[in-house]
Amino acid sequence: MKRRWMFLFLMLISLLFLSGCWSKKELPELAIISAVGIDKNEEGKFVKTHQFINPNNVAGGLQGGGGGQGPSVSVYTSTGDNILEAHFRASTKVSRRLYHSHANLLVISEEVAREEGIQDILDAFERDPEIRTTMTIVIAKGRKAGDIITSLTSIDRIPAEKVNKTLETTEKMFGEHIKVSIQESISILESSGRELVITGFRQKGDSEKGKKLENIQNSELDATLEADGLAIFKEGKLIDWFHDEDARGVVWILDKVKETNVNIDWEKKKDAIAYQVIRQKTKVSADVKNGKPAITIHVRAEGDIREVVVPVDLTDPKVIANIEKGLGKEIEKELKDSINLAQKNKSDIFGFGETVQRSYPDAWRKMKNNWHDVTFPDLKVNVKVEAFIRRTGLRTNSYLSQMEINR
Amino acid sequence: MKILGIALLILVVLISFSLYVDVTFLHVSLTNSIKNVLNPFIVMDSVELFIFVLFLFFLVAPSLTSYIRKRKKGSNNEKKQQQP
Amino acid sequence: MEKAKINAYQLFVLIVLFELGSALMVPLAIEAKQDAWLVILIGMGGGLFLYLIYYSLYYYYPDIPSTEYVQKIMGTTLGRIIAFFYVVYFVYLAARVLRNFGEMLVTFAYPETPLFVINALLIVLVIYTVRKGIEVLSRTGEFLFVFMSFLLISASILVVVGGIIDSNNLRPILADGIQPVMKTVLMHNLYFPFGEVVVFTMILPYLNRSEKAKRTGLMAIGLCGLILSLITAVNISVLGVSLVSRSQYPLLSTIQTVEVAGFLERLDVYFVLAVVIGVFVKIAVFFYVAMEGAANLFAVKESARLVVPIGVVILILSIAVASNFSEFFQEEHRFVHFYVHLPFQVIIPIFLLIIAFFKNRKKSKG
Repeated sequence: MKRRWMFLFLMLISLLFLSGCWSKKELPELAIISAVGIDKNEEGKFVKTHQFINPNNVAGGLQGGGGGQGPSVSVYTSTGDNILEAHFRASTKVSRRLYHSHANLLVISEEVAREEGIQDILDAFERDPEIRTTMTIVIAKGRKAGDIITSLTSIDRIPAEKVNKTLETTEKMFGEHIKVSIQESISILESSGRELVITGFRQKGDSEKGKKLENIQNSELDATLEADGLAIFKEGKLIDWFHDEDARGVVWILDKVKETNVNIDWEKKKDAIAYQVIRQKTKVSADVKNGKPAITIHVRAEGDIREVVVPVDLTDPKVIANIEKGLGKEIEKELKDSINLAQKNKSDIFGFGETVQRSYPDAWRKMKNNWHDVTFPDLKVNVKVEAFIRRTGLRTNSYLSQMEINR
Repeated sequence: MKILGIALLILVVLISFSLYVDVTFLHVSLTNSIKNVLNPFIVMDSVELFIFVLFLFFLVAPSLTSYIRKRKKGSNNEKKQQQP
Repeated sequence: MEKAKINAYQLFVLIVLFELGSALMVPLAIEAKQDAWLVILIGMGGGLFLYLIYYSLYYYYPDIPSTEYVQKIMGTTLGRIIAFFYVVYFVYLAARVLRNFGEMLVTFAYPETPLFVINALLIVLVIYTVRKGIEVLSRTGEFLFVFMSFLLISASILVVVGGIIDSNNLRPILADGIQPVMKTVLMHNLYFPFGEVVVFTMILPYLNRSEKAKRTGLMAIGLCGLILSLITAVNISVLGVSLVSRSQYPLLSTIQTVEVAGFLERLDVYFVLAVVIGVFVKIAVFFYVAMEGAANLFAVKESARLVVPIGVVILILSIAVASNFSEFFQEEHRFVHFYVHLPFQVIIPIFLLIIAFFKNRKKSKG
């Protein structure tokens, strides 16, 4: 008898525990965030802009390609004294539970990055179990982060996706920008021998127009988002922007360049030969002599000649060797320029300090404290570049050579 | 071992031949032509490097195993001889 | 020598695919401008003559490959040295063909794939085939030959139907006299591709009916000469001399120009398939011959044990042989054709034949 009661009791208990998850969330109850923007308002409060996915309007295929009537994302902003407060305050505006797991873009406005620094912001993102630290960070250049978040985009319907994919593609194909995640930037912020670089994103055109659905109904958008420059940080604060070749120099030294193109002058004609780097390896090594550090950068690149606008005999191995030399010098100059610029800014974005630390931990302990302000700006950096040309495309010589012969 | 020797002999002869061609006919200096021989192997992806090492392994492995087997056999024979 | 036999048809197919191999890919005899097709025909004549020399050597020694009869003719020591250089020569040519093929694929289709990986993939395939022996190789050849014929025939139909041939590009014939034509023949096209049949001195002993060797070989070389001459003429008439000479792969450019009925276009795959077939057979033949030669020379009982080492050597060499395509091409053009092919394909065989002739005459007298 007693056993039977016991049995019943256990049954009831298990009924209680087996009923399901503690805090279950069904999909229709969630507001899925795709991107987050951080600004500051006049009162000095954080403004957090959330980009929510409108599931009905994204799934275009089901509705005959039209993709629904509304925009694919909705944006709500909220303010607070810190990130968490701004986050909770958003619930006064959004009907569903804010769901962070799918957010993959964090936009920080240039203003915040310059004045406050980004270190105050990141902790909230790292600590939250729902947020993934592989989220990409970009800096909204010259605009509010909210403008980047609200701008509608074509091809990729979700702006956060567009920004991420643009970064991935341009990092792979052109090498002037890099994709930096929250996790990476935190570890760089922690490090004493390296400073942070984050890609800037700019909204081109009218931000009001960018919000409207008409924007993506044009063939050429009124407001577009594009990667523009690298933001250079010092102790967590944005101090300068690097553009074009300087930016690529930074990416190159960080060994993140995969493919890119380099132009050299030939026979007094400017940018006459275009060389496409197909793969490259960059090695940075440190050397300490008499307590004085020196850095050696060794770049080895290989690629093809993809364009010539002067008659040049590409079948001659000697000419190829000369072009290789010229390319080496050109790349070397580019790297040196960006090193000089960084040294002027007194910001060791290349992680030379870390390199010294790895090879010479004892010497590093001595120079650690005044690395950025004293040692780094006067650091001797040797750059050695070897560029190899492997192929010249489907043609050997250009038709320009033939034209010259016939004339 | 012999197999490996044959392969290395052919390789060495041909590499020096290609150096010779570079120096005499394309008028490249010896150091540069040595660099030319080596530089395609320098800029390698990790996958490429892996395949390369794999091939080298296949090159060496049979000779190595046969060598080890021979040594084992040799030592076994010695033991057998010692036993009686 | 392994115990294997091939029949006359298989020999024919092997020679045809071998000759077409990389010759389909590169611009042939373009130094002679619009007379290139004539150069190839004359080169073919020379090739037929060279084949007769190789055949006569085979006639004296029908059961043993050239690395072995060299030793009989020249004495053991000197013969071994020459035989070793022949082995090295075959390995070198295999590596060059492999490199050329890899360069083609990287330039045209897979710009981001490393050359090494492409070469490695092909050499793995060749290693497998060569390991299976000459019989499997020639049967593979038979199968591929059907493919190749289909490709060549349908491609020529498409080129003709496409109406892109402008035969005016072939004129004037012999504008600068016969001299440049003969110079090109003697500097380049006698040796590449026709003289390269010298490798078949190693394969002829496998033929099951030796009386057919002469006719088969001559027919195969004749057919190849005609095909290559035709292809070169088509290339020049479609693209013009200047474009052919600036192209690394003129046949590819020709095929890319084909547009038939608005939908038969971008037929690049034709070119790639034909070249893959030809190059595969060519490397395999060089490879097989080098392996058998080395096994014979160094008295390795199982020649299959040499497959992987020589394969790796060919692979490494194909990468190391030049650091860029210009260097590779110049080496091939200015050096290999004349200074390497001439001794191995013409001088040594003629020399051997003369000595063999006297030796055998003595024998028959005695």
